[in-house]
Amino acid sequence: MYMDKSLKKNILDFKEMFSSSADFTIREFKINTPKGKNAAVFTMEGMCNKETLAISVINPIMGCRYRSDNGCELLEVIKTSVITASEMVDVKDTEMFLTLLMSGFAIIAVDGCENMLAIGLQGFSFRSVSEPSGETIQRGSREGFVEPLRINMTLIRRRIKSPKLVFETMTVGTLSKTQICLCYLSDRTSKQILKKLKEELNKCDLETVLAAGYLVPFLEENEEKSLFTGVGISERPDTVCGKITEGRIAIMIDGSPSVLYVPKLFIENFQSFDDYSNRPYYAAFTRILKYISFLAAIYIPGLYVAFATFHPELFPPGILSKIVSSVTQTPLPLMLEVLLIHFIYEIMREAGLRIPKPLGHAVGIVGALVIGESAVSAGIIGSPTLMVVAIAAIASYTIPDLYPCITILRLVYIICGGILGLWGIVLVSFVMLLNLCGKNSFGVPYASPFAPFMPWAMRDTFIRASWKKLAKKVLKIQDVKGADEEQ
Amino acid sequence: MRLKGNVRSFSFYLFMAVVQISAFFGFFAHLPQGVTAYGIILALPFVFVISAVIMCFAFKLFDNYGSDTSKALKKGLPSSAIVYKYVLSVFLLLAAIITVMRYTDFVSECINKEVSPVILIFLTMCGVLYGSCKGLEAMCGANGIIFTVCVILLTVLFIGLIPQISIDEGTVAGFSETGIFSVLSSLVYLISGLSALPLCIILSEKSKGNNRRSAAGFLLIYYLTAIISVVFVIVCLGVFSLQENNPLYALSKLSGMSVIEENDGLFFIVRTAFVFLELSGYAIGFSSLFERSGSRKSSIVFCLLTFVISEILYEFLKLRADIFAYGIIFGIVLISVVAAVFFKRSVTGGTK
Repeated sequence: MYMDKSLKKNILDFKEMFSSSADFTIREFKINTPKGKNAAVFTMEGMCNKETLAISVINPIMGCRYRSDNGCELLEVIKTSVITASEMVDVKDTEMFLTLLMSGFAIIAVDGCENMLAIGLQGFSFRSVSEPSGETIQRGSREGFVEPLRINMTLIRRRIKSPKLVFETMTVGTLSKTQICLCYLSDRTSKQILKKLKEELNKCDLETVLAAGYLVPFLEENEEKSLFTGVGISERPDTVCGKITEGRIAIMIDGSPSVLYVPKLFIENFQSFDDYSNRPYYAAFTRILKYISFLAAIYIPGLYVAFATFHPELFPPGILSKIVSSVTQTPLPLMLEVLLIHFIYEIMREAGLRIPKPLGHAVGIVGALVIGESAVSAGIIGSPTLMVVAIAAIASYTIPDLYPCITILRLVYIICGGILGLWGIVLVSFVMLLNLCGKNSFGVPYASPFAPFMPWAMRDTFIRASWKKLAKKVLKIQDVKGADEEQ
Repeated sequence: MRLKGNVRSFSFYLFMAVVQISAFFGFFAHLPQGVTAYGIILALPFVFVISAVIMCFAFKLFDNYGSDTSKALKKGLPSSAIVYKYVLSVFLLLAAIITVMRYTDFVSECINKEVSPVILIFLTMCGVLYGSCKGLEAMCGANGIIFTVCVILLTVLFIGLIPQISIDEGTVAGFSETGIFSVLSSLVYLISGLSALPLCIILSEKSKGNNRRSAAGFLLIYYLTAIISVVFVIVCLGVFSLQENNPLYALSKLSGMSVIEENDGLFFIVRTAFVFLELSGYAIGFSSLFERSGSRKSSIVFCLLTFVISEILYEFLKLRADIFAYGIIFGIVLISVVAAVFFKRSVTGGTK
């Protein structure tokens, strides 16, 4: 929709459009022309820097003398000779007007001209760059992404000073008009993946996009059929830069400090930025520890229930006697007992996350005293059972990205182990493995490089080869065996 | 874009090898009637030679089939092609039913006596259905991981059993007293257990895409994996459990490792994983015969038929028809190979 030449009509139209919203401000003034011309500046309260607007825009415009009375000529003179701002955009229609206005631009309109001039004077307050609390590391940068998109773009550009680094902006959300930015290296990213990603984002028919998680379902194939996600998420610019150099595409969302990247492989859940700063042997040790923790977190409670219920002969005699005495003294069947402790633990964890920090310690104390001491001494739960659930819970924290799927799988294994024994656990493992191997993230097999097996890519899986070896061949995500191939 | 069902040759060969090994494991885990462990050991060298000849011949022959030949087969000999297709499908169904029955019997007898066989068969077929719906690509991927895990578990089992190896007079006597009938019946069982062959023929063309399949590559991987697995089992098969009905399971209880003193669970895991892969392979092969790979309708039909028939047979026959069923399978494998030769000559005029 185009705007009118009459400033009065435009003002009335915009006032009606915004239903006289309190934050929509219009500053009307006169320009010093032979006949005296009306002009106005449109801003959104709190989005623009008022001081800069007054000093750098309104003051110079009002302080000048103009020879012409033609609105469009006046706007051109203001643009080329009066205002010194670095970012100026011509506004030609209402949609553009609204987008720029809500992005913190000040928009100047002169009576008699249907076009307007937008000046970048964004001055909203935002959180400063700080270390993300969910992804702390021992060595490396302390910077984390913040909410404004432009600052996040800078954080990446500062780390990859290459002209091949491309930022491509798009808008999603029919109501929120959220700006998102695709970030990739033009010479390393697969064109197939980039094209598919844009298609998927264009299909996104959400009204609002308030967080990165809103877009994840649109980037996954058969999201509801898999426990694992093929979309990575990080708040660290160094991690995202590492992913971009491997040919992945980062998706930054305005208003969210979490940056998505695709495609993501299963092994990436076990990699952390510290691995690349530590010595290779130690990095290999921590990696293997994480794989063991993952298996322990999902299998230990289920195997415990299965062995104790169906195959007690599999326990060494010393441990068996303790388990038998514990099970006979507690009122609930073992499977229910493990499920109960598991649920109590999850409730405590959820409560600890949501309540204010000072109260979080109280929850911990209550949990430790009530569950750890009283319930065992009262004979409601057995101490071996409590220990098993505790080990599984601690193990799951070593791989935070996989926590949701670990929680669900653990429950499934407990139930199957309790009903079907070891056989049930093997059955679920088979199904889980198929689910893992059947998943693709933008055409790249999720279980790669284990399935399909790639010996040369094993240098950064269980072990982390030294940087000298890693630098010899750059791994690009589209080089993964089984990834989309041009025919 | 990626070709659907375009499975790498190595993954495909390994999958077929595991399907094949699964049959061997089945025999060692649970001896069919009229067969002794001594008989199986004596029959194994012959099995390897005979199966090498059959597989090399048949695989090479079928590998040369392109899509054009298949179309010509359907066009030129429509009725025969349909008969041939149904012969193969009956083979797959029968092989699956026997595998399910034997496996259920093994689980009910050794591992999970508390759970009803009906539930075991039903859940097994649910897992198989899920696997077949995921398709050959996912199956081959999962197979690679399962195989690696199983090799690790078998190694643990092997190390644990080494102190128990003892070949004495009893062992020698056991071999010398084994009758020719036991060796021959073992031979029939083991050769009829070459279930990977027809499956390989069915799936090879469907999954090959741009990858060439070679008989030599397949045989190399198959024999390497089969020999390693069989040696793992035989070396440890001392005198302790040769008279048992489930020798491998009974043997694994004798492990000398203090850390995992009772490691029979390890063998059970290997056997179960292989059975799931084997059955899923049959289901994928069955659906490939009738529809496109990964199709659900024919997989559901296959799983339902296997569930119902194996449940009925399990209840009424209790595996007494072992020798009869294997005889039929052996016959179907032979018919398949002969029919393939015949069709090949009819279509190509014997030029290839």
